[in-house]
Amino acid sequence: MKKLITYLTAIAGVSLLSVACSDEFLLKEPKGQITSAALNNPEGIEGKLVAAYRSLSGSGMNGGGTWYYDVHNWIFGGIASDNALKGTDAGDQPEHSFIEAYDFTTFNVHLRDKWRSVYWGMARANDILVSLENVEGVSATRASEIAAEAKFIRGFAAFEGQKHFREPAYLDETQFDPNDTESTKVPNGGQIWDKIIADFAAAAAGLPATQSQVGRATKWAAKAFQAKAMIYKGDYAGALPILKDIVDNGGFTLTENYEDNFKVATRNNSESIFEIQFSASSSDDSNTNRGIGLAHPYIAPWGCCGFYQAPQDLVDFFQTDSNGLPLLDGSWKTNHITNPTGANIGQPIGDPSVDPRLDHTVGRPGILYKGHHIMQVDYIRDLTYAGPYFSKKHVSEPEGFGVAGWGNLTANNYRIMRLGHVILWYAEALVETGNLEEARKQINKLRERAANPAGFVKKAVQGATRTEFTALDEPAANYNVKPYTEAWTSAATARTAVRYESRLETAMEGHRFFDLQRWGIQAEVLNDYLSRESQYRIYLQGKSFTSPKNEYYPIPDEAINRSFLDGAATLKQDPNY
Amino acid sequence: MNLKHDLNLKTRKQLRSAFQSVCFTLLLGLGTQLSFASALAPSTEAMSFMDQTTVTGTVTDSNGVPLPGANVIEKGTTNGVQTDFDGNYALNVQPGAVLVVSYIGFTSTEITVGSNSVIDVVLQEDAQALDEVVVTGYGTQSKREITGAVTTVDAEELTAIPATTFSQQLQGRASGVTIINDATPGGEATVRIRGFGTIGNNNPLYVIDGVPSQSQGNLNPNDIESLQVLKDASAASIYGSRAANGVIIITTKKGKAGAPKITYNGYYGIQNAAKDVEALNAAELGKYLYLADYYAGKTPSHGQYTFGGTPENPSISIPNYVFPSGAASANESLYSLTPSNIYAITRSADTNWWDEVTVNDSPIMNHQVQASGATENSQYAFTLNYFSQDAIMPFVGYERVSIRLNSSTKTFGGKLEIGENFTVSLDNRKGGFSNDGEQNAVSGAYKHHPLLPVYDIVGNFAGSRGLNLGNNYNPYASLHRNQDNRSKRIRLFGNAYVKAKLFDLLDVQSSFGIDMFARRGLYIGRPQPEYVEGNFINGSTSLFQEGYQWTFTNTVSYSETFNDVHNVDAYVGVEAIEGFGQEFGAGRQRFPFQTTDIISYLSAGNVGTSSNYGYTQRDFSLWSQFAKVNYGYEDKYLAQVIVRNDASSRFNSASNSAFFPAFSLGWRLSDESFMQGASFIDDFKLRYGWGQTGNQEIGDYNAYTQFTAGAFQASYPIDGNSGANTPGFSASQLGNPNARWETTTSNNIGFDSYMFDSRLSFEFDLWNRTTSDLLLNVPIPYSAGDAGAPAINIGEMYNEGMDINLNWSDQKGDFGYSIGGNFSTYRNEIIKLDQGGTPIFGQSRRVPSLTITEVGSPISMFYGFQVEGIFQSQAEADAWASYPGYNAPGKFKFADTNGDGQISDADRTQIGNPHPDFVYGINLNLSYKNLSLNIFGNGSVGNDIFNYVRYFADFNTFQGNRSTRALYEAWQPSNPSAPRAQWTAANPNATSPIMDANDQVSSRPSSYLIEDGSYFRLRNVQLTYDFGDSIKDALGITGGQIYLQGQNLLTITDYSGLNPEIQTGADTTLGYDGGYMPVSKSILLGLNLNLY
Repeated sequence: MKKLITYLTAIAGVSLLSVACSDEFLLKEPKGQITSAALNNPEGIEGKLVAAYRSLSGSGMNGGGTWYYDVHNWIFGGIASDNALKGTDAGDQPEHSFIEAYDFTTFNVHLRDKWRSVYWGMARANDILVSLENVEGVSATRASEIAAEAKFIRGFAAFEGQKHFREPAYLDETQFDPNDTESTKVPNGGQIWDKIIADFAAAAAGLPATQSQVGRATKWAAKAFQAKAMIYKGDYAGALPILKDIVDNGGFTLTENYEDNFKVATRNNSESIFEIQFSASSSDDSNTNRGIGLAHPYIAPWGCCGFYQAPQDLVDFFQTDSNGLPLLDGSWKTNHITNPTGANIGQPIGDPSVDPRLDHTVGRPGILYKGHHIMQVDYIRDLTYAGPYFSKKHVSEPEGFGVAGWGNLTANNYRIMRLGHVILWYAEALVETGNLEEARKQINKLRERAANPAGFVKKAVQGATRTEFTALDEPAANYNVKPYTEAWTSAATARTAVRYESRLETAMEGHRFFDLQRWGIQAEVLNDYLSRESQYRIYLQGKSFTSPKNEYYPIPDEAINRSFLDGAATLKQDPNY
Repeated sequence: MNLKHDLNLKTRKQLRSAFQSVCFTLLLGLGTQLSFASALAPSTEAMSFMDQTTVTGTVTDSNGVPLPGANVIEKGTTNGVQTDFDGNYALNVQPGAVLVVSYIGFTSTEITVGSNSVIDVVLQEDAQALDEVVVTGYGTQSKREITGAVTTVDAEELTAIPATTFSQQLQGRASGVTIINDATPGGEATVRIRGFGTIGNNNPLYVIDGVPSQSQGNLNPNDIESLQVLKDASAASIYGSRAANGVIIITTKKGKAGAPKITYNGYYGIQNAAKDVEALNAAELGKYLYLADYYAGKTPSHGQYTFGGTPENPSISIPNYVFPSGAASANESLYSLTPSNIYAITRSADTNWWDEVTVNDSPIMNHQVQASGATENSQYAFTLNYFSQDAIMPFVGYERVSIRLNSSTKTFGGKLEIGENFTVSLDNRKGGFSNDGEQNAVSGAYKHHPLLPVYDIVGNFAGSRGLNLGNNYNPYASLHRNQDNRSKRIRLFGNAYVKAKLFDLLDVQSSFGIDMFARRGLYIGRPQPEYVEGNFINGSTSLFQEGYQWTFTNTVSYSETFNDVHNVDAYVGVEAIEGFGQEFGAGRQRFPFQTTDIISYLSAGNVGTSSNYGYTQRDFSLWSQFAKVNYGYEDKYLAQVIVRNDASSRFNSASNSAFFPAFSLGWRLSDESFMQGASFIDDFKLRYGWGQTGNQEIGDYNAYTQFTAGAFQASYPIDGNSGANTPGFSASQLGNPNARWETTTSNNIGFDSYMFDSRLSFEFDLWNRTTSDLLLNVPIPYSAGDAGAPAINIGEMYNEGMDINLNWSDQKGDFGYSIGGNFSTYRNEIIKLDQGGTPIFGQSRRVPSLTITEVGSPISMFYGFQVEGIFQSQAEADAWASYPGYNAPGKFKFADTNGDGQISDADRTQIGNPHPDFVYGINLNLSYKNLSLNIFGNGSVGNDIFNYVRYFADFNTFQGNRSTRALYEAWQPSNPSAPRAQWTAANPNATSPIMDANDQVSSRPSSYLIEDGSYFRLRNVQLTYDFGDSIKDALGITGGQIYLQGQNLLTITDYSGLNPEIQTGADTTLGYDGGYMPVSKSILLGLNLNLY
């Protein structure tokens, strides 16, 4: 018995001793991953900055649905407006259909990810601003540029937030602690335009006029976004001098051909102020335009998925009178230029005169589709559902066609800020500040560029197989667009003309819902649109837009659920929901 | 949550080498320090007596068969021997001594040594099985002494079910265990012991021959000798931090004393699908589409069908060709299927896709040869096993080869033993079927268009190119094209040990166990140009995983009886475990040739399409000390205390160590005098146990914030390059250095009883367990960015339940029978999540998440709208809570749960419960002379299933096929030509909503998709003929059986899907049927032969 006790004691002693020695055995540091401390150097902060730019592209968010929060805003800015239909067939992605039907629900996963993406971008930007304090070896000049780039990214994210949500939250680097997620639970309340404008102003002050790397924000890009935010806020007088500065001194020029803003081959051109960069290689599709991948025709070489069709309303909008001017009196609404239904669905009625930008914006049957084929209704997944027209601008030309895993994925950049947009806001600001004549001059720049016959879509003749065609040296349709030669007689006329031009120039670029929002005419325009379009796309029957509720999207339930601090949610839902 | 780090890494690294050497010296020391030389010497105490006599004899069973290895002990001393190979013994004893003779499975006997120097002993088999010795941790106990909640499963019954893994066989066999099987060949089972203890990983720990593992994969179940389930903490806490989800202990077969044996066991069977899908045929689908258009207010039209007639009597014309779409004729000479000219002319058909994707009489077989034997000082058991199973779907199957060798050798008079248990297995999962896939063959059988044939006019696969044909893969073509996909594994598992008996008092054991695996995955992508979203590009992906986990365990155990009445059994031990695993993979596309031998290897692919990745899968270590003491007073009062201390690399050093205590008490009432009157009770033991266990399955690097350089998350073509990205760094995972152990505290009260001459056995347990400091990946605010949330100790969960095992067996002459059953139930409740009670949503698919995990409810409740019925008229629709643009005759009445007069998000509520009210198993054995019949079934009652397949099959989701429900059980008006507002019901009892080509609202997650998943399945009916002695005379072999077996012959369920057993990956998304392979009905013929 004594021996037993001796041995048991010895064993217990050894056990206790070995507890102390276990520290090293029990130290398992991450392998194949990078720790935060390893990034407190120039390479680290520059890498984080690259990743912050990544947040602009509307893809790349952990756990995010690939096309839910796409920067092209084809869902929230497009199909929620009179410029686009969901497309495909009725049962495909019903979450999109609910948005199209103004049934904005707080648990819509696409909306949830849109919200997430706003704060994802803001978090990456704030993390850089916080990290800058700990980084060693970065020059003061570069540090201030990095800060300016980060503020640009934060402003960009916040802008997306403000467009979608009536009262979004805003966080800056003084609130954001990367080691304490609770620190980011900040309340919302009121609009955040001033913070957005301040971020862009700070970015403009700290950024160079040009960057050696074309994807980086420049002083001019920051100014353009600053002015855009002011326009959205309604501060025309404040925006005017900035817009003038960009137009006069920015060094940007409109491309000769309108379509150059929508092709892979002409990325980062003379008109570009800021582009969302995409890349595609045969082994890597991670930075392609995947967020809009679903919005390609339902035929080879894409095959998927038929989303993002154009309504009859948009096609008719492009008709011009004999002077090559849009029908500002609204008579386009009662005069179809193509058949909305029936055996000849989508085919022209007679030989209507149209703005040539129509066929760069909308794929319609019989017209060469960006060099791929002559479009026919086989592009469409369910003709009886969403009609015969397809979207076009984001689709790559065949030469730049996706070489990555999925053919729809290409490097066709999204021109989120081009001179054409700035000119439109400049004209708008001029109208609102009483300078109608200068406004007309600006608008005419866009119309003159559109009128360049070299940029017209060419007529094509079908060959023996579906993919074969012969392009002729003549326009595909009766294109007729001309500048406004007569002075606008009233501010109202001028305003109408500028707003018409905005739709003509930027249709299906993801801005329409937000343009109508800032003009305060969503209910009027969209309910009018629904009443007409639902005659042909009958699934729209019974749908309506409600003001003020549908002017903004609701804050997603899950965002509110995750914002509890001391027993109460810090985020407050839009009271209209 | 504060995630700040304060690790002083440099200091730690400097200490590394010093510590490492010290650690292992100490560990090894425990195994070897107590040196054999001094300790193994024969006990001096036993030799110091005088006047001894020598007793010799033979120990046999009632049939006269010698019992080698029986213990013969002089009572009250440590003086004793074991019988030799022929059952003989010789022992010097004092005059008047009493011999205690015992042998496992037999009743011990005491014989007083009189004047006889030869005493032969006949031992009677122990009918009560109370002395059966089972493994309950690092040692064994007889069932008589067990005070925790331990269920033992009869290995013979267990392995009667042909299956890939033991866990599949365990279904319905043990109370307290809920098992959901995967019917895919090679599939495993989801095992839950007593509910759900945490939000994350609820898998039990498996301990096989003393070696722990988290994997049930590719072991040969026929190697199992015995299986115990440790269900409560008072039993399981010896495994401390990994035991919160229960422990399953398996011992594999060893050689048994007696003549060497060679046995053959084999079966061959055929399998057929147990259930069919309910899909429309081509004409029915045409009618559905016509009506769906008509009821939507559209003029019925379709890219393929031609419609005519009236809604009362529609006429549906089926085209001759589906490509060109809807054509009556086609110039077949223009056929082309090239990238530049896709004109794959396809005639229309009326295909039953379920018939196309299933095959009849798929084979299943198993062959096993075992050689075993034992002598006085050594034993060996060798098995070779081959198992193969084809699926009921073509080109899908599984096969496995495994080899096991267990052996041990004793020297020094049996006081030193060295042994090993080792198995190597190779398995191979073939083909491309995975459960819960939108494009798998089960989903395809529901969804693929019946107008499409399998092949086009030239014999290429036909597909969905063409108008309005949906976007399903040709489900047969998919199976065909994936037939060369492989997942091949090799697993090496086992241990080597040394055991020594010191001073006749202490058993010292040192075991080193290893669990290693490697897996090669091969996934070939073949072009599918006929598919509407398809292309001509081929590709191939390969992945390789490897991992190991070693376990070094050292124990010292001690067993002694004092004054005849005080039994003490104790051990202490230390254990070190380390695991590591990694994966890398690569792929290429555009191979010039597609022959399998070329495309299976990457080099022939286009180098410009190369992609690859690599990462660690696991990386952890665990260091533990533990002790257990059992005390028994005359077997009447029993007590057990367990303590364990674990330190884990998964927690930061400040919090990585935790102490897990447990105790249990037993009281054998049947030995009390006041119970003597109840003579029908043979044995009755009351048990109570309390204990704490832990969980550390939170990932390996939870303490560290990590950044990724992943191209998708962090890179961007900042320089404008259209073909390459600039790499960046983004936070991928936030760390929580403050995490500490999650603790589960459990209580168990129960009894074991044997009655009516042990014909009735009854085990009953009531239990509860509370998980505190629950490690939860808290839903962090979106404003913190997209990095993953770390696990933090914040939640709390509660489970309670009841387990019952009941068995009656009797023998009447030649007729024997037994009937047994087990019953298990649990109730789960989330007590606390994070501070805001943020609900956790499960997976979302094409619809928002269907499950919610929230405070006050069980984990993973179904969530959505409640359907109250179908509107029978416009008036009824108008009177209902408003749902703009939706409410109409034939549409669902969604419940206005918050009573605000409108249907909105806020009306979503819990609409179902995936947890069963109870699960059960029933087993019946009948035997008459050489014939025996076994019938076994199991079931689940009260669990709901979210039938996601119906989201596609019953609603207007994509343009493929629909279920028969969508047409025949849909609400329809009796007056369809009248305006909608005047519609009246033709079939007021309809259960599905009106067909409507524009309806997206009805398919929102709602109670319509919830079904009762209760079932009873007759898993096994087996008729066995035992050859008895007849075969010995005829063939000269010892014995054997032949049997005929039917598997899954009957499933009773109201569930409309193919299989009510739904496994899902995450425990926050339970019971979510996205298309599961059904179980097969199979008929098997088996043969067992014993050669010795």
